[in-house]
Amino acid sequence: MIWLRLRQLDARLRLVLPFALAICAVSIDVLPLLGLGPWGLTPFSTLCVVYFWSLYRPDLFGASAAFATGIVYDALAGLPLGLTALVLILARQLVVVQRRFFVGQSFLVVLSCFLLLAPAVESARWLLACAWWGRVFPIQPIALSLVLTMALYPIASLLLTRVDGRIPRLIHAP
Amino acid sequence: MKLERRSLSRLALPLKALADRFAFGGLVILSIALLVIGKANVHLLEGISTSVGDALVPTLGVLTQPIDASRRLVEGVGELIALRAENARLREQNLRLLEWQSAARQLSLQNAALRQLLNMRADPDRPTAVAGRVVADAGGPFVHTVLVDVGAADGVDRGMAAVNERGLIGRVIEVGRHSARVLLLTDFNSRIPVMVEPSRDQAILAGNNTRRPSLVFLPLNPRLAVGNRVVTSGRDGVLPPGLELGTVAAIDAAGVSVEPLVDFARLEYVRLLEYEMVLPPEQLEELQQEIYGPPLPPEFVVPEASGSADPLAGRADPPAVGSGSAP
Repeated sequence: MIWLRLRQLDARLRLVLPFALAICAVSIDVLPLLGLGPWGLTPFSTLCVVYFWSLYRPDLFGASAAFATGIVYDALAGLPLGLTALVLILARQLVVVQRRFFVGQSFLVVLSCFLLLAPAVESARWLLACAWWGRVFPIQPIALSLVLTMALYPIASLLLTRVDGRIPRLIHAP
Repeated sequence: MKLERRSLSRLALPLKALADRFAFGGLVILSIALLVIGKANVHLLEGISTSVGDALVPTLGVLTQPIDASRRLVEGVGELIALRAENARLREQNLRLLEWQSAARQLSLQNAALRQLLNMRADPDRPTAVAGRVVADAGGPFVHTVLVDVGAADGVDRGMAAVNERGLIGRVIEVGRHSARVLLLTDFNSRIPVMVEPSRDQAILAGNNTRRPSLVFLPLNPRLAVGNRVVTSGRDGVLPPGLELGTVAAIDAAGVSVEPLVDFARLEYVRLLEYEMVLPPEQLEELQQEIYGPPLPPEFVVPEASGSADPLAGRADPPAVGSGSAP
């Protein structure tokens, strides 16, 4: 009986793994890493995680999960609440809507789409930040951060694919 | 039992589909609403940010431990390699510091004698400090702030100066129960009243989201030179005067830029200074009213029988002037 309960608990915990990993990515993004500092030279790894789960497990990573991830990011990074949340919800929706296109496609196609999405997401963040603060932010740190984010996706994808294999598939999942 | 579960799942599935359909639109509207509310009143949503910070600070604290350890390891290996050269440099520095110590002692004695001559009020006590560890620093390209693992429970208050062993880092702008956010002096929202030494020209150090903040509102014909020290002037009544910030790095057509003393890429521990500011009389009166209540009406006379000349002594006993029902 206890084993059954533990197994059920294990299965349920695995279902919240996508959201938990998104929060982990937020934590990594805001950690004071060596030599990177607060000049924007940190990759936006949260976007990699949100893109991956929106593509492969949208049933477990809904719009509310993207919203919560964005709010936590905004709160920890000291950004206006709702800025990253709005961008992540839109990014998730864009991926989910185009999901049929990705079926059966190779990793290169998936990566290429990420390379298109990431600049769009960073541009949206930049535009929102400029509008919110009423000033034009320099592009250079954002461009550097973007390059790091793009370079990070293959590694993030490799790790997340392994995790994805351990999450049970739901029968009614899309 | 099985039948009940089936009927429940039959009900739940369409509800879930309906919720998913409306979730996207609803959450987009909610995000925009949060942005608008946050813009209208910055402090209204501060509670959410500080709560998230309080909740995640212990986890971030644990995650930063290996990073700090590896950073120290790398630095340690580097120091070992440069040990011989470092030793020679330190010997030379020690000789220079001994000369400075002698000069400082003489100046200190001279200062004390001059103060006594002028009958000056003694300096207030040195500010007390709360030490904290930096657990999060990524504002990315938009904001330059750090999150530290001490908060209101440790005596941190908004406006406190944040320093490390090199100089001023910034000031506290948000305080949670166990976390606080420090606005770095490089952030474009940061404005710090400063003084340039030795000319003692007053200015404002304005952050611009680059490594080098700039000096604005300088006096006419400022007497500046590259390498001049920049310290806080304390004119805002919030930051203590005399805290070192940096040195003048460049003077050109674009303005005067300052090189901060602090290496913002390697912030580990910070000290948050409690500073007892000198209040102007009107603010002091407001503060007294906040503590002791509104001023007494002119017709109210303190009874002679109370035996106390202090008007506050009469006010401490509400039944003497009120209805007598106060607890």
